[in-house]
Amino acid sequence: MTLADDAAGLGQPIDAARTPRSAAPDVPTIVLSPRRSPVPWRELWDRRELQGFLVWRELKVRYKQTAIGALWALFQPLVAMAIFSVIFGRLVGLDSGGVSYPTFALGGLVMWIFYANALSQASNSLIDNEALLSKVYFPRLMLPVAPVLAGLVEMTIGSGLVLLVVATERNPLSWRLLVAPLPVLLVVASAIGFGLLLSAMNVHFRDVKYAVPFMLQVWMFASPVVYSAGVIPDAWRPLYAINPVSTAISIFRWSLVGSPFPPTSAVAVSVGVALAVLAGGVLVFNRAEGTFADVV
Amino acid sequence: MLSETPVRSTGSAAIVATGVSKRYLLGEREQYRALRDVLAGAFQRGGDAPVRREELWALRDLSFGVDEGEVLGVIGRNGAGKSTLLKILSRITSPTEGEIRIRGRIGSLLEVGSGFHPELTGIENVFLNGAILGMTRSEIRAKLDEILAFAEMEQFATTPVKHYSVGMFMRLAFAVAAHLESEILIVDEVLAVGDARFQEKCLSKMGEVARSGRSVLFVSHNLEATLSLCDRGILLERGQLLFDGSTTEAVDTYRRLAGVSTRSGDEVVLDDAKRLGTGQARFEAVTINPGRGTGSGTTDVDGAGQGDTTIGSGAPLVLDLGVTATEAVEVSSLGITFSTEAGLLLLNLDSADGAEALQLSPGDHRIRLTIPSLRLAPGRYRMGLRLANPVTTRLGSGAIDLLDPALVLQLDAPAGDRPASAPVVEGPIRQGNGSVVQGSMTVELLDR
Repeated sequence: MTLADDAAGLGQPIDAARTPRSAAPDVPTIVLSPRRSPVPWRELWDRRELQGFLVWRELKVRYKQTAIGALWALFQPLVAMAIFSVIFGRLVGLDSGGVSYPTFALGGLVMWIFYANALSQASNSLIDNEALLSKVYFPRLMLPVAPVLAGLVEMTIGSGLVLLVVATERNPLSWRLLVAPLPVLLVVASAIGFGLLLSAMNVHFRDVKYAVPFMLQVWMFASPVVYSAGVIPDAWRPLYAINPVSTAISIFRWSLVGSPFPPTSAVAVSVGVALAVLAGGVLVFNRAEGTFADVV
Repeated sequence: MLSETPVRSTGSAAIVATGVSKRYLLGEREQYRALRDVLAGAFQRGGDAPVRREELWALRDLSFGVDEGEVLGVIGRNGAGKSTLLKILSRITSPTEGEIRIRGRIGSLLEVGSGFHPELTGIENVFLNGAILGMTRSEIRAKLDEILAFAEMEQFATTPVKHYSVGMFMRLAFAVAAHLESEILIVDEVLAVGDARFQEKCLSKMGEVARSGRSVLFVSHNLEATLSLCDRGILLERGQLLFDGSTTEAVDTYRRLAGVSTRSGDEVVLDDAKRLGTGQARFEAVTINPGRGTGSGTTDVDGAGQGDTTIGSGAPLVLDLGVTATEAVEVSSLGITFSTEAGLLLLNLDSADGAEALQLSPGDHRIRLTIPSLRLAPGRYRMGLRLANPVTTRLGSGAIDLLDPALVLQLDAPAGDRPASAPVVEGPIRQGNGSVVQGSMTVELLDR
């Protein structure tokens, strides 16, 4: 080991013909060390275009070589709506709170399908992009976020469908529609938060891959997709609201078809949980990030 | 260690690495934990110490610096830690100990094409891959034509890359990576891809980048390229910094290292090699240029258990082969093959062309095989060994014993052999003045 040579070598004059491309004063210094680094907000912002490209790739690849393309985004909620309407609307006769059951179900389904797809794709995003992880550096956080943002595009198409159905039933569209983005933010926050947690776990435990579809099945029935949240006794609503998706769907329906708005306590609990999951997801993911390439 | 090492002022340094180490737990790469194992572990952990897994220090306490605008060559044998160093520098994995300060944007020409998606078209992949490597959309748009032209890909730009040939794919991938503008660039020479002509283009592009005034880390097995491109060289050996100084000295040290540390003339035992054949007789060991001093003929067995052997290109090659026969057997054909590392067979020499058959009695034998002058270009070659006779050939088993590769042969440029007029690009077979093998191969049984 010749550590001393190190310094000596650096003192060597540089070939005069070469003009060092002098780094601008604002060139950032990166420190690579085993210590946990803080969440790289600056870098995430600087490379936001890459996030855009990853989302674009998701969308582009999703419907390549399909005949009906993005119409699949409508197909899934429509078929589910038809089935649910027959079983839960007609046969079981669930209360849909004043609107027709198909309209009621469609509102919940559009949001639920977005959430379920976003979460399952996000949780597999790291292992699906193993080649990228082990060969190129970029902020890893962008991988699980991409399918969630890509899903938003599909949900927008789905929401258009809901509006169409609502309008044809001559339900009045109202100012409440302007509030619709807020419950969407709530599900996006929890999809990203849980997605980050699950994807990081998935790198170490492939069990996650098998557990997520099952978990989502249970989760759907813990959310007011086929039934109205009104059937939950008021005393239980704050507990029920620990699932942020439940409140998001209730508010979403309220803004689309005028179903009852969830209690304030439930909203507070859901927003709190979603923000906590988002923050926790980012921190846990950032901490685990250093080992991804060694393990995946 | 860390605190004792003075950290140089970062005024003009592009990279300062201080006490960098990387530890891998063996098995970690292949095994992911199933939740079951962790749960089982949780219940068993009754005060027991956790199971110790074997550790491998791929890098140990490495400190060096790269000045702004400097081209640093990183050399070392396989397994010396070069790839690990590159992975850490390009931020794919983090060091276990120590710290690296990097000033400026770092671009790496390490693994090209990993961001390519088969369903997307050439142009779409250029944008996606460029963004992954750190280019902005406007940068990519500005360079798109240049990239497509470099890859010679204009007419396929809108075809999904899944329809590309491997060569087209690699060309496009290299073109994207090579047009990345960053203050610091990490280049792995094995990146030169495609056919010979495109490889030449890749290498000249790398040279261009190295001379453009950027800080460059150049990693290569090709000592000639390192000498011509780099201002300074560091030599890694078993994860440690063995030398840091002028490129010439680094390369000399590397060449000496191969000679000094590896016991010239020692046997390479062939028990790890994969073999085919009837097994009536087996190659047990090879000694390269027996009885020679240091420098000219050296052998070593590297970490992978595979022989890695260095001799001069154009020099005579003498092999003493230890062969054990389990029964009396006639060997009419003793063959030796040389292939590129990728497995392309270049040369097949066989004692059946002229030499007398060897009669091997049961027991151990030494056979000396002499090639008067092996005029392959400097580089690494797979050497295969073969014993056969007409019976085994007719029976369809092909050989009595067949090892390919038996070992990897490193042919160095002999000192003073490279005149200024050496060809820029050289194929593996060196024509020079005469044939590839001058004189004929001889085989003799050294037994008493």
